[in-house]
Amino acid sequence: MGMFKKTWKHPSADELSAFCDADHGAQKEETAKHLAVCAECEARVKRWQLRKELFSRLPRPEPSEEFVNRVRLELARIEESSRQPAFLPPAVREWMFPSLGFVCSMLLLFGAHALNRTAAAPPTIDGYFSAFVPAATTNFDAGLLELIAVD
Amino acid sequence: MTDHDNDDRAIIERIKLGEKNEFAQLVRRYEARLRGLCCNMLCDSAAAEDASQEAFIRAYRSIQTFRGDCPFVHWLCRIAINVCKDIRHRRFAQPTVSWDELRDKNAGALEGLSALPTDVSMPHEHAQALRRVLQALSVKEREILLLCEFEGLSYQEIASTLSCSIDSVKGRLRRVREKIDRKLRHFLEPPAVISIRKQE
Repeated sequence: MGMFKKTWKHPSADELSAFCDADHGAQKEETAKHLAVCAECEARVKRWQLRKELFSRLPRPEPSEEFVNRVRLELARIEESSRQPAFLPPAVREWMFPSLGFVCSMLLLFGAHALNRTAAAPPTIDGYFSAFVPAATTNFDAGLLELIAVD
Repeated sequence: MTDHDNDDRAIIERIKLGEKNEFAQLVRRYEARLRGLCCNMLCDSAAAEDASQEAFIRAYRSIQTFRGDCPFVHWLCRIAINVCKDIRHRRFAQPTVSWDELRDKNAGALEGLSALPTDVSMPHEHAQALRRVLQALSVKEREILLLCEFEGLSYQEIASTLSCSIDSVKGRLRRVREKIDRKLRHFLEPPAVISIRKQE
């Protein structure tokens, strides 16, 4: 008997939502039939339709000539500023700031390098080793002596 | 395309050819609609004025890029929504009203909404309560709800305005509706449903 039992299938929430907006397409008939017999889905659709109707009734501003004039003035100002001759041609203006940035960074880089060279003598391999090898040897010897003394 | 859209297209062609003063016609035609949209997006009438002015200026500056594959007003709405998003991003990134606060402070007005007669304009306090519902939503939720329910655009039009698919529009709308269902249970119900609840 179970296999003959009629299945009760609610439309999906997307279908119900689309039904409220009249963008239901092919499911319109099926959804309408279902709503006629299913109080739960019907209540849901009615709730969404009520809200839709309420939001559509939110007050709209009155046309304002003052606002139009304000926008016109602003647009006129923009037009005016675009007509004024520029101090430099557009191609130069476009490349001026990136080139200046590049030149400044190069100057900083070479300047720092030059300063470094004048401030300290150029490092050599011998100088590098002589800086820490004797100290390390001394520390190692001291540690060894301590170990012997403890024993 | 309606006659209005074709008329807009003719004006835009003239603007592109250099008759820039024609843009004022478009401003006059759509300013109230755009201010309404911005007002509901931002829930602040002063900010909405600035946003709609900015939207018109952006539209004017990029009018040469308008290809005409959708009505001008939808293109304008898209610009206005982007301006509102920028403003909200600068001022307050997330919902400014919590659902608890909304329920506590506006219970009376929200309950009264469902019983409002349809032939009169909406009283101020009820409109405020509805705007507070919008404020409790995120910007993305608000934009889709407003385009569908306030502007009355079809799914196709919303998809082209927001540059997304129709399935995405459907899904987003359904999620917003379910969210309001969850958050405002027992409010904003049709009178018939309220009476059934009371009997229960």
